[in-house]
Amino acid sequence: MSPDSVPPLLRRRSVLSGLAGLAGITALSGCGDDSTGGSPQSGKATITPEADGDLNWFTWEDYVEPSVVSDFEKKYGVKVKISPYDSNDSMLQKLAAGVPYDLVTNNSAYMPQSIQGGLLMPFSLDALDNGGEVATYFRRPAYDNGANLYSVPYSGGPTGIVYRTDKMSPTQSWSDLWDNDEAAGHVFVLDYQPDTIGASLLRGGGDLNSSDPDEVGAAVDSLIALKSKLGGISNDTRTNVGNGDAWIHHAWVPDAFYLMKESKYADQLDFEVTSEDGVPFGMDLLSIGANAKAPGTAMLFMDWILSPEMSARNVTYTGQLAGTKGGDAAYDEVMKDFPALMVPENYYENALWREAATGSRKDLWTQQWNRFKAA
Amino acid sequence: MEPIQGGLASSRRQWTALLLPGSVTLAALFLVPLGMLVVYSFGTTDIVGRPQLGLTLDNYRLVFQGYNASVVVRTVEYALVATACCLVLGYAVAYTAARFAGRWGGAIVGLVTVSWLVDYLVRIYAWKQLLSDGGFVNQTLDRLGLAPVSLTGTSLAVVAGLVYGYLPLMVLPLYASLKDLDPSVIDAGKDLFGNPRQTFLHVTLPATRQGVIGGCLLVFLPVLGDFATAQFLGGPSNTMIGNIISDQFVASGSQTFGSALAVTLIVLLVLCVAITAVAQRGRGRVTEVLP
Repeated sequence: MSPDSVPPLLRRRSVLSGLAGLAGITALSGCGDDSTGGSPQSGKATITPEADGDLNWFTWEDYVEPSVVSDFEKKYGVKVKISPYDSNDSMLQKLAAGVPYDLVTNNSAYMPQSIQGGLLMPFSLDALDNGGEVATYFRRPAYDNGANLYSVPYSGGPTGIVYRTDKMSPTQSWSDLWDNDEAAGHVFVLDYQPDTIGASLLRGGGDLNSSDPDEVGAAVDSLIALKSKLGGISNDTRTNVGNGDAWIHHAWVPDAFYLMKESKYADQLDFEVTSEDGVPFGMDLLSIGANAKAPGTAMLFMDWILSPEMSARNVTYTGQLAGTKGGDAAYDEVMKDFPALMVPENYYENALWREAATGSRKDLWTQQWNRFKAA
Repeated sequence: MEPIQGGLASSRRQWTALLLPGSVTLAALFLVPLGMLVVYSFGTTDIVGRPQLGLTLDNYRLVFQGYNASVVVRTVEYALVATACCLVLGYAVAYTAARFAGRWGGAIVGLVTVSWLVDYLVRIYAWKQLLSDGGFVNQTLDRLGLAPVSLTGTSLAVVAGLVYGYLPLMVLPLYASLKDLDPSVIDAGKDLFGNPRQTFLHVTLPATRQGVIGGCLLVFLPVLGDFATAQFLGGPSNTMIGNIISDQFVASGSQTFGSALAVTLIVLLVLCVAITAVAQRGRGRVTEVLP
């Protein structure tokens, strides 16, 4: 077909310019989309806990004791659909895109942005039968201390190191990731900048939430120096340790706890808390999405989870604190078998919390993290 | 059916009608997202990482940092080696299928592509299970009394994974062009006292040049943007540019910077294709192939 036989409408230039215009318009409308609201919710917290539809729960994979969900479904005659995410940032992104999740497992370090971005609905603890179960700290925590409350505690623990007892002796320092030459190639760090840059900062005596470019740069230099000994940068701790690749793995408690109970190396694994340098802590929380279709069911489910029995079931399953009276009492019992994970009194008040990274600190950390990944 | 003289206008209407569904789909699913990527690359993000319109060059300034250049160089190296391996392996398979397999030729090509019935991520993950230190391969070596070897976390593992993943894209165009090749041309080469090597280099290979170039582009371009292979089979020093871009979207909340990286990569790819196209102009005719 010669160019002349093509109808004018379809000539390349006109098609391309038309599409470019269309793309521009769509992009603009995308940018201007503010369906989730651009300012903090200031309405009254009046959601009533009652079954008003099936529950869509946006959360980490395998992060709830299965019977907690199935018993809830049976009792209230609703379905719970678990929509898994694989990173806090992708959680925030989907929530910001306006996807209508009823219940969201948020994280303390992502809470200020979520509230300010208008991504969550406020509610009142008084509306929950088990509201009194929430530990004192979480009634007005640092990350959620405005006029309204947007979260209840769900599950949290320190970031530490899971290691093979036949390969390493712990020194309660992050240096254990750096200083075990005989484990070279079998040391793994998490693919999560707040924890990995954070560990290096703490090891160097710095601030876990530093915004000092020199301090963060030096911490990343140390991480780059560690690269020659690393087997990987990965959050797939269960696979890496379970298949024998990793002997020393920077880890979150639920993965370490699972491996210490279930994997073929279970008898040779232990978890180390880096109390010499500082132990980063964060709490996963339950919140209601701003576009929730069944906020009443979400409230019911939060009430259900806060109950001493369900809280205890989850603690036994994940190996993490629950931030509830009943759950944390169960935690103390469970950890008698895992002394490394026992926590002191007033743990939440004194913990080294990961703080929200926004603005120039976020840019600094992201670029430094890219430098580490690229090296 | 209308007579041929039935009018140019009616024929044009038919062409328009035929082109419309494809064009609209392409526009909606490809060009619009591409346009958004370009728009985002000049933007900023709000507190929850949503791209905001803007006209800043900050994202591009960050793209041209030294450490990004080193990843691009590494990625291009992997892509070149993987493409070369795919070409050698793919040519052998396609040649066998087209020239010697008779009616089984199609079945051989089908076997090469059948692995695509399973998602790429799942297959790469399976490789990780097989090749890990405690995996099937090392367990077998252990049973045979041989020392275990670290197979993952190396450049070799990444390139091998890429070759495995993208080989079918090389085989298909090569098979098509070898199938179209008139066998008598090869016989003519032999008649002119060419030994097998000479005949291949001076007759078969030049005559299938279009398939070679098509296959190489089909492999090279997607490999440049791959991230799963390096993520699962690579080690901490095998990061490819696709990993860095993917990180910006799923793990860093920096979509605007990720967009700028992606746009820069696309521009590089378009340049590659353009250079190939210019180099190809006026070549590939049989008169030139046959001396």
